[in-house]
Amino acid sequence: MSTLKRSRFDTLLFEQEAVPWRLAYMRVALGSSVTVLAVYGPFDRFFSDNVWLYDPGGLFAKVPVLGAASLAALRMTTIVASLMLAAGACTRVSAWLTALSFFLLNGYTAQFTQPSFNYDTHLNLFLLAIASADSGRVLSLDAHWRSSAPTADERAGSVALGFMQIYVAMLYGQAFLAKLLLSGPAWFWTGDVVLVQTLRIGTGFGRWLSRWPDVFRAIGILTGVFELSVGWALLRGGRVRNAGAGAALAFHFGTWLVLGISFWHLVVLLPPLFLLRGPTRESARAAERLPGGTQALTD
Amino acid sequence: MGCRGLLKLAMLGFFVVQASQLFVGAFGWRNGWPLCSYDMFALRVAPPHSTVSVVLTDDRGARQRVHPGNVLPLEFFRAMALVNRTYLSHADEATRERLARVALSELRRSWPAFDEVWAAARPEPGHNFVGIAFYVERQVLSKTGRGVRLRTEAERLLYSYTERRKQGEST
Repeated sequence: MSTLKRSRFDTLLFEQEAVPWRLAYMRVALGSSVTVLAVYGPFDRFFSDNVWLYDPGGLFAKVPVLGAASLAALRMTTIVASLMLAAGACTRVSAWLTALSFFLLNGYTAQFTQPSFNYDTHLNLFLLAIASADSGRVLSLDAHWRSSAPTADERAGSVALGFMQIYVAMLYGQAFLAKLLLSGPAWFWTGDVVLVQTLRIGTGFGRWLSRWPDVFRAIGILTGVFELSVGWALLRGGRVRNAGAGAALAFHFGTWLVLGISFWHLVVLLPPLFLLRGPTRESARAAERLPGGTQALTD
Repeated sequence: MGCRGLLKLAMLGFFVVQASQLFVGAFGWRNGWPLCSYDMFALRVAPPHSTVSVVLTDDRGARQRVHPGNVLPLEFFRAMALVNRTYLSHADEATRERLARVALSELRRSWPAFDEVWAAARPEPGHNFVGIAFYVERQVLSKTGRGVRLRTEAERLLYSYTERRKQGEST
């Protein structure tokens, strides 16, 4: 049993499939998500106007207050770097620049409302993972500009993908355990948390559903089944993983319909992490033998 | 131990620390940013329960009851954490007044909804909010002909602030 577990862990970390393609999809998804967040998200003058709320701790304990100009410059750096990352321009540099600037921007602003849980910090961790590998080999401006394919180092890419997959799988398990720890099994079988939150902050559709309170008991039970099992499914291979990813997408769609919470910055990462495969190894190798290397597949 | 072994050990260490955030969150301590306890909506708030609401008053006296997420340009749960920290805990008078003034000033600038940031509450066209009050409400589930709804059984004023403007000053 332990041998099986070890080998699964090894496979996840060192033997991921279609690494360059899936890394590239992840790069585009991460870069685009961070651009959208940095442009439209809550990172504006509220944080320079109200520095009296700044209460730094942990990694930010020594980070000083940022003035309006510094905060705007940090935000602009994040926007430009993440756009470059999504396009695959100077990928290694833009990946690190996005990872570091968004780490500062997202972390700094979180220090104003502590204690409050973090909800989009998987992006920060995943950016660091992407930066540690070469995600610009395909589907990138870098690949378009190169005259020959770069040396492949799929090991770092495989570890990065494995790390992100395990993190997402664990996230759902953690959400399940948190409910069990804080509220007990009643959270799941009564469904009253979902019902009350829907009445407080939910959508019109969610409130309309409250005509049938038993629906919320079913939602509570389904949430428990989903959170308990999806992590396992996501870390398996083939159809089980596809089913897990499909269930996760359906779960988030349902949550958005009822509560108006989409968790979109995680949802957009699910297909490249668990569903998309890229071309087969044979066709990718054949393409790399063509003049222009993998660029031939991107054109 | 080879390179792979060290890498696996480091990864395992990271995930153990990440998992430990679950207990950090459960005891109400601060998550080690960027780690997360993923305990959103984990606390069972079976009615009757208490919740904080905000009542805004405009310059002609019209009142509007809204969620804390509608008075600060932050994610709704962060706005709620800030309001709870300030008005439910024992923050000093100056801090309470300061946050009330910030909320009114932000509402005047207004902001659109984005993801988990809710849109600013809006007064009737041509008017401004000049008063803000924070209440803690005790809510119960009540059955109606159309299912269930939350009914406020009792409420208690936590803090109230009204802007004093000089005569003739426009907003």
